[in-house]
Amino acid sequence: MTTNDTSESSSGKETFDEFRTSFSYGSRNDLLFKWMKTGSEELADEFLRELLDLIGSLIDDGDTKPIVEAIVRAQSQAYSGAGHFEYDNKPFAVLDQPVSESRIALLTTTGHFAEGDDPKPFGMNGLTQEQAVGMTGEFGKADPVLSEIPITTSRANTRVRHGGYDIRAAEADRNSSLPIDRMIELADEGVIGEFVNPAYSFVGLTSQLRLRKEIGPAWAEKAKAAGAQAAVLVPI
Amino acid sequence: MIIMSSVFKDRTAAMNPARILLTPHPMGRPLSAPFDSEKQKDILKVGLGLLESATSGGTIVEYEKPYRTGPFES
Repeated sequence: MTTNDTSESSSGKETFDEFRTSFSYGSRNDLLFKWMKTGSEELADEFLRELLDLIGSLIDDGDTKPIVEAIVRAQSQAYSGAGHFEYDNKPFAVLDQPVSESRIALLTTTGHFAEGDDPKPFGMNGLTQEQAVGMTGEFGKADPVLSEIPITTSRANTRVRHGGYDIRAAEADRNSSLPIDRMIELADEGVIGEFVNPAYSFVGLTSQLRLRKEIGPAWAEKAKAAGAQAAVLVPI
Repeated sequence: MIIMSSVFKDRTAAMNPARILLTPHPMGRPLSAPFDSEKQKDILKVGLGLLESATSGGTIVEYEKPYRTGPFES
């Protein structure tokens, strides 16, 4: 079988391995399923077979829950393990006052920004999502740019661009990953003392070491200067 | 306090941040499907609760309610 696969590949026919890796910045790029390259060939095989089976059931019962669970399960398996960053220290600070009296900031790695305030990665204004997807290598080596989003910014005037993940939900409703509207409501309801203005976002696909050692601490000071006593962080 | 998809549980836990709320959601949807406002607010409340309830760094809590698919009213 291996011999046949090799023969087919060299004759121009696509192997399953080539098929599953094509979903990660390849000919079938789909960032919701790019993990099929990260995980094993067996994982992709099992997932696709399970997905087809679940679709068969969906036709009859309309239940999408098992499909979502299968996606999350497969993604979790693909990204299992500690990764490149392990820290033994466990930083911790006690909040000095109740949450209901605290000024809370919001910071996400989702790549949101306000209309008219494009962070202009690499000096490029109006970079499209498609262009960003094609420049993930460059983003990974560059310094991140922090977008300050006034919390009065309307949903219609909120943009998102990030070459590292499927932005469909983030684009349809910012609150699925940048919950500005819900934080405003929580402040109005007295659940939090105050929602710090502005909210912050950047493209998490960036130089991780410079972010941790230099840029992140400077951003934390910026948030403190804006009044933050605690923060909601949403890595994507 | 961090809110993120449980997909990255291993990688996040290895970094030992102070407080993490993991949601059983697909990548790119850490709080909810689009316009699931009720879920968004509930997750924020649970996460904000960790600011008061956690007693040590590396606190990881898994949000138990499942991801809900839409459509929801925008």
